[in-house]
Amino acid sequence: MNTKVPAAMLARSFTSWEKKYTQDHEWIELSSDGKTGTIGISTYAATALGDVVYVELPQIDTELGAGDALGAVESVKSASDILTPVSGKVVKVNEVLEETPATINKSPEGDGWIAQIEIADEGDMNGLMSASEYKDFTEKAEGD
Amino acid sequence: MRLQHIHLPSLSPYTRASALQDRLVHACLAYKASPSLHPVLKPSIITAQFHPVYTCGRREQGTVSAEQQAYLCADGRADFHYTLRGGQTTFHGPGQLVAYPILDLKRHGLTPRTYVSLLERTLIKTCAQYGISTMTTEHPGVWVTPDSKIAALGVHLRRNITSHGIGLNINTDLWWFSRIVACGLEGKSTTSFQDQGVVDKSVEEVGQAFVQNMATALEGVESIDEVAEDAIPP
Repeated sequence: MNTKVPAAMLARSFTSWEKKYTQDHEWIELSSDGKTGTIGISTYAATALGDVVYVELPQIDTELGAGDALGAVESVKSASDILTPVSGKVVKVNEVLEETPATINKSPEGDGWIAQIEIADEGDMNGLMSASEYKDFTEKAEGD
Repeated sequence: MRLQHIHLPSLSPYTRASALQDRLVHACLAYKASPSLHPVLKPSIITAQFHPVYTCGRREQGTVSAEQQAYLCADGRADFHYTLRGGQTTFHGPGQLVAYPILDLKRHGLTPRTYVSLLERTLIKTCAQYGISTMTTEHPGVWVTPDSKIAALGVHLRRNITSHGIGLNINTDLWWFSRIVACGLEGKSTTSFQDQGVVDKSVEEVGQAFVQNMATALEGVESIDEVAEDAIPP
């Protein structure tokens, strides 16, 4: 019996679990079936914002295009839009953030996730940065 | 780079500044998305004096009832608007300098946090030039005492492009503030240049000083261009 998994499938499932980053410091992590993406802001962004006092979450079932605002994160007197890297429909939001917005500061890339989107076009994931590319990007930005 | 300063004629409706602000932000975002297709963005600052208006911040969206809005509007003497900026309810009106810097924070080496700090420091410096000693406290804005606020601030960011900004009271009728819990801070009061004994200063004059101080504070800005509103493309 041939139990070998085709290499292409292996490569795909490996990259599905890796976070990808945008130039505006959002991250997106695909589910193992590749159908939904969890979105949040990076540690770099959370530090740049300061203490988060309020998070505006999207409504469930909202349809968004890639680059649309999916909500906002408010820190001392500044409200910063969070953009979705992918088009799709909002299927879940992190209600913990309504009670405890500071969760974003404590764990921006873990418990501080913002929303989950059912992805309409997987092609939107192209052009996003891997964790190491993003690290280089932010280090370069600091150096400027 | 040159900072473009657009001073709107007094008194303007809030909606006029808001529309101009949107055009500038849109131009900045378009450039950021496709630098090869659009003219290079110039940092801008709008200064204005508004007809009486109460504005609310983002997190208050939908929370002000029709009765509350009617109360605020005082028989048509004031307007009411929700905005996308941070912060809560505040008042803008005659005698108050409103300044909206539209900048790409990345071009000036700023983060949202350091930008708010820069606005506060620039306000402190401007007040000091008129003999008013001010400070920052645990609450945002600029204060004469820990309980008396002279300038409010609230900013919106999209892809690090700023909009909204500050409101500095020169000779604002402070009665308008007594009707609200400004910025959601109970037990605090609002003051002005006039209230502090600095009289006969116009909003335009203080506006020029503030813009000059912003140009000095912003990395990369060398000079100011005074620009008419209709010079900004639609």
